[in-house]
Amino acid sequence: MFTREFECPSCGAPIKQNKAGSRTLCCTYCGQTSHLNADSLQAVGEKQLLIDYGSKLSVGLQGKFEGRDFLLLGRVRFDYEDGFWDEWYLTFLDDGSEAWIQEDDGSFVFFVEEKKVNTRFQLHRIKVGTYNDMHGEWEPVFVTEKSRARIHGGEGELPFKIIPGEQADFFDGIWKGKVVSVELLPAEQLLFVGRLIKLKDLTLT
Amino acid sequence: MSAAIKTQDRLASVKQFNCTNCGAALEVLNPRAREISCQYCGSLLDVTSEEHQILRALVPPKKHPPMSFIRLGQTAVIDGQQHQVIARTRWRMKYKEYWYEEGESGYSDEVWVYDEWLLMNQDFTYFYLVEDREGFHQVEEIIPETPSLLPKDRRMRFYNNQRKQIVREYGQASVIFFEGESNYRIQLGDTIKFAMFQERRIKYQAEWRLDKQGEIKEVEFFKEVPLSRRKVQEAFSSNAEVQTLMQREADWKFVFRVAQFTFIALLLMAMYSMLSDGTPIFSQEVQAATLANDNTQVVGPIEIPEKGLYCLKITALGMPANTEMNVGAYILNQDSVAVNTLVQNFYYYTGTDSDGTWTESDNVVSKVFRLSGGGTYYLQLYLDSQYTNMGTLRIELNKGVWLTRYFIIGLVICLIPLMVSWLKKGSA
Repeated sequence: MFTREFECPSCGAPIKQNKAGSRTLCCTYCGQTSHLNADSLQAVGEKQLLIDYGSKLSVGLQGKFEGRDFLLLGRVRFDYEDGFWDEWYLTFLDDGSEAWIQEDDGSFVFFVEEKKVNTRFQLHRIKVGTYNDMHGEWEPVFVTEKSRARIHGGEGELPFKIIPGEQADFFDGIWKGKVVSVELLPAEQLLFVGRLIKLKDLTLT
Repeated sequence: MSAAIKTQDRLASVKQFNCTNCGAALEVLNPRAREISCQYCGSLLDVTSEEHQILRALVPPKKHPPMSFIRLGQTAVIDGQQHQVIARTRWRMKYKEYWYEEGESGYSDEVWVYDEWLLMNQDFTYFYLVEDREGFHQVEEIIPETPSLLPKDRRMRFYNNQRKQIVREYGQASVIFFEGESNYRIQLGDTIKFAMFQERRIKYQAEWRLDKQGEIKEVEFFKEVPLSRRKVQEAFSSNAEVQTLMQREADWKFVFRVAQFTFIALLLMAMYSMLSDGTPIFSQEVQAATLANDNTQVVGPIEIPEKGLYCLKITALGMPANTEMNVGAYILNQDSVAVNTLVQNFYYYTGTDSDGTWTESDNVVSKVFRLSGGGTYYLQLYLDSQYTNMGTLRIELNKGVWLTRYFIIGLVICLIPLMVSWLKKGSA
């Protein structure tokens, strides 16, 4: 398995990278978020250690989902007006594919990134309770929620660059009985497709 | 797992502090909780700060008591997992309800109240239980294949394999009471809109919230699966008060069953007693004329085999029209002591009026009495000379009759526990 070690640019503690292609590494000791540029880490944003609210998931945890072994590599916490939610970043050990588990107030959604949407969405133009045509870049999605949000912080390693405090609006929807989430990050718009799961569906080791 | 972030176990996450308003001891179980209401004074407090400042005043719980046996803080075992009740929201619905009658249909305005119980398990996941006057429902979020809110034709389905169903209810629900802890900002008057259809026994519901500008802010979809009261009680049976309740209900159920059985048995016996005349042991006809001028006549001997209940029946036959006959009878034992009496005024009236011929008569009398022993008995008859003496009296004595009145008294007595247990069942 791929691993590389770095030193936190802020506190010097060792930081391990477990997946090639990760773009953000977070120091588990001081909470510093760093972007991975070539072979060095560049500290960005304020230090932010995520408070644990009793989740059964944690970075470094291995488990099995639908018969496939996975490793939790990191997580991002988003703040919005109704509180916060966590997105757990995982890799399957059999083929190295990536997925996300969204944990929001006791409910879990298993997400896989479907595509990047190029045309920028204007949050105020998205109407909840109606179908959105997705700028013709994908099939229409029934929008169930939209909100302004910001990145509270990260933990472990992540496949894209984050900066704590950065705006990260989103809208969620339904497409053919599946959950859709579109994250409107400053650099890109990512469309995820997922389904509701129960915590007991994850065999945690 | 990181060194700096340690998973807290459930007990370590419990927060305890006193109500900022009334000083009552409060306990917060959910590590994500942002607000908690004081169970005593109804103040809503901030959980996230050390000051626990009062955010708003809610209604004290005694104004909106729970509908049945579930209480905040109780534990329940659901799907083998221990849960604890951490919150209750009472909603008042103002809605349109679909009706259909004799080919006509429409929507009527209705109001309904229900409690939404929030149970948290050791993994900090939730179980939503809805309780109203009609029972319990488990509420689960769903992701429909064909989501919609409230179509113009009032017909909905959520899945491709469903037939379109008429919207059974639609309207809005508002929070009128909250107790416990919440991850969200709780405000009395918070309102959601909803539309619901039903397929078999499962209710499917779309719910949406509006923002301050009246735009839809969030849409969620749920299904509500009915749960029997028995099943919910079993889930909560580890609580002493629920155990006591279940025992009391079982006792009342037993009383109900016994009373029900006894009632049916008494009813059958009463019917039998009314229809049965017993076994004939004596029969004789006496010409009324022989009793004229206040003469008496002794009928008998009548051999009574054993002590028991007997029925004396006297029938007046062949009375002339528009006459009355007053007959008395003494039942004499072998020492010529009267042990019972029977007096009856027979009459037979007939005539014609604008409706035709009419008749009113009463020519039969019977009396059940108990004889204390067997032996030879007699019957002494007399006739009041002021009335007619024309006709014949048939004297019959039957053995082994049942006293209907006792069964009827028993039926009435049985009705009391039946009614009480029925009311208990109803209130439960």
